[in-house]
Amino acid sequence: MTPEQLTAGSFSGYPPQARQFAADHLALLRQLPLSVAPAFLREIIALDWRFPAERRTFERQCRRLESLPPEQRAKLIAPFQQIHVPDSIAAHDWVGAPQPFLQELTAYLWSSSQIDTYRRAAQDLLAVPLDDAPQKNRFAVVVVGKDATSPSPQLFRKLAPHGVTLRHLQWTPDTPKQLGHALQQHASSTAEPYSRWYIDGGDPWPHDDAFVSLLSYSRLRPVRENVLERMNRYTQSGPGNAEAMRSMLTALTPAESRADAVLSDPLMQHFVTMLFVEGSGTQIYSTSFVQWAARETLRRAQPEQLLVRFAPRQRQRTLNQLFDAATNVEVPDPEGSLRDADISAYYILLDMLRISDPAHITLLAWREGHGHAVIVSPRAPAGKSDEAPLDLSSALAKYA
Amino acid sequence: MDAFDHRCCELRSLTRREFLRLASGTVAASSVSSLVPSAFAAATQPKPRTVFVTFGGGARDEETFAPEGQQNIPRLLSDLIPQGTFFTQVVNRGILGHYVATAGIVTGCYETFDNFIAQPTGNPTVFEYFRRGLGRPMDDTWVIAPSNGFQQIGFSRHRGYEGQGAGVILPKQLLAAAVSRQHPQSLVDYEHLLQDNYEMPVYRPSLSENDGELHLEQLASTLRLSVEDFTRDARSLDSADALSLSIARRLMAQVSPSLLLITLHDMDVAHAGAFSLYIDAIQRADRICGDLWASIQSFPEYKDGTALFIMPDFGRDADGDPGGNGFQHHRTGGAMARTTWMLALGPGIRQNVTVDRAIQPIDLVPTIGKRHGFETPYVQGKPIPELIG
Repeated sequence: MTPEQLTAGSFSGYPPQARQFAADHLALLRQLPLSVAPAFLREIIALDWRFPAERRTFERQCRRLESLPPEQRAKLIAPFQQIHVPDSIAAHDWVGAPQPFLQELTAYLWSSSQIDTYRRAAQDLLAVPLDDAPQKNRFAVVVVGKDATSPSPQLFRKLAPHGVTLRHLQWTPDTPKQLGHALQQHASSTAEPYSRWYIDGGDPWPHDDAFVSLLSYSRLRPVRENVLERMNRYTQSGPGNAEAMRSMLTALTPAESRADAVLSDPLMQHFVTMLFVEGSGTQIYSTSFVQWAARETLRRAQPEQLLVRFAPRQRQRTLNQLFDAATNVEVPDPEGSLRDADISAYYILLDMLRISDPAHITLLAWREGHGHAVIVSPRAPAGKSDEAPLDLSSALAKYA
Repeated sequence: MDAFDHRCCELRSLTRREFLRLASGTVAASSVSSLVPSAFAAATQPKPRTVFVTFGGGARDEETFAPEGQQNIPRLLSDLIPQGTFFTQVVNRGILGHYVATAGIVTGCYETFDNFIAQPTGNPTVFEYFRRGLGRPMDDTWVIAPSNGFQQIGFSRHRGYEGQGAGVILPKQLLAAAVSRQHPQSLVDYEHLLQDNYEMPVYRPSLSENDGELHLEQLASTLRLSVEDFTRDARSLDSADALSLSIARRLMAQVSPSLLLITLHDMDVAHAGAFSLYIDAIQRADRICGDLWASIQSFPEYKDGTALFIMPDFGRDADGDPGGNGFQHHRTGGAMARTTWMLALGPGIRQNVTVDRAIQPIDLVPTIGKRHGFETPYVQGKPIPELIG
């Protein structure tokens, strides 16, 4: 089958919203070469489990392509037409199950040295300017360093050039509650679902469940242990390779991952399942989970308010510790986790900049229990330092 | 790669050279004809030997040669680079997977097979060229690799070179077999010990009984170590790469191979997303490279006659590349993921010099061939003029 042979009936096995979307954009899909059409279908087939913001983004990408003059659209599509898809790959059911097709195509593109061309062409094809609607102000708080005790003079080294460094921001027992209030104050009254998030690498602080979508590493333990067990079982079951295991994992349903046992919202169940099956290391290290969850939340849900708190991940056991059964337990590594969280805070800023203009971004990164923080915002003087003692509300009033 | 990517690689190279000049006062190759006389030209020469080290899991400039990263590589910067020629721009145009990329390094051709399936290369390996060309026995060339996926890297499928390959030592599998023999009911955590692929954290091949016997045979006949001594030594080490260095030293002491490949793998823990573990592994690799060079100089068979080449197989993704996740992976194929460096030191190699001209990892095999005097007829790469005198 080729893309130009697609009909509305080709999508009869898709979930309802995906089926409707594919039918609405059938003309575009039929114009796409085989080397790229399945990539669109992979997005469409999962549309029923997508957050509102990412649905809009994909819709805008499709509408932009449809609105282009034919010659301009043809120019964007041309690089994909140069890619010959081998018959063995083309024979896949790329409409009903685009993922295995794309997996094999990716391997083929690497082995035939076409991956760089494909990647650039895909970036051009899907490039859309930021949303035409008025920009939303986005506010993120990143708390790092739980239980770490060592001094860390180089903390926030990558963030500091982008904002003001505070040396004496007063952390008090009320700070967690105050951070929650600060996020609520920045929330607009018209915010849509999934626009306020709280991601915690351990047990969460007290929070308003009605206000935020919560991802807690501790509370998601059944899901990650289930995914890890499936990965272990797969490797012990005989021949196979990492890519085949990845295919097995990405096909997991929320019922199979047990996400449905810890979350009631189907969208969140799918999202959490993907965080553990697509995120490398998320099943093992809480810091990897928090960073990846923040990245995917920003990319997909595009939240207006985001609280991210890192907690100690388990220590990596060294070779000599493997000899000792007594070390076969999860020992926390707060100092290493602080270093993990430090670069992750910078990555969260980069992730925010991918969905928003800098003029609409505020990010507060703060070492838990300490006075060291950085605020990045349009009002914060980049690369400067403020040595004055400040409480949270004063700091936000001054710089956010 | 198009002109834009070439320009990106060149900029990375220039930046790296400036970092180096600031850090260690190296001199561009074009500005000097020769800083030290060629040791190869001397009248009395020990038998030439080559040790090459690859980092299976690249390290980015930010964590190494950039100002903020230099604290992680004190031995490379202050000890080794002043003694050698540093190539600032090694561009890998092949598949960015560790096994297939290392296979490309040892064949001098970009291999295209599935990275996750252990298999022999299609093109002859440098070990086969070396043994056939110089008529050397199998014991004269070895590979030490931390991953079971590398078990077949010593021999190719090429019909012209049957039985001419290198022995491969897999340190973790060797240790697992030794401990299993010593303490069948041992509580050693094999699951973690044999963890083989950081890109898929729990993916690891199984260790069959036959594999175990082969490893133990290797321990006794090649390394001439008892199971007890080997496991006792291993208990004092903190990582698989440290174990690889320990085995390399033992191999040099017992067998004195003329051609030795060591692949270090610890830093690929970056795939698990924990930045601090990645940094720890870079610091460990730096120490291991320094200790390896010191070991080479401590063995009479190797001292002054051995070239050491150190090269990551490729880089890692840039922080700003939306297709990646920063340091964690090497999936984008972007300039930072494709561009890395090489350090060469030893006889006939000028000291304290940087070379900015782009080379490729596949250039190493023909270079080693020229230095040792054996033919490499099937390579795609070209000999590196700065290293062949």
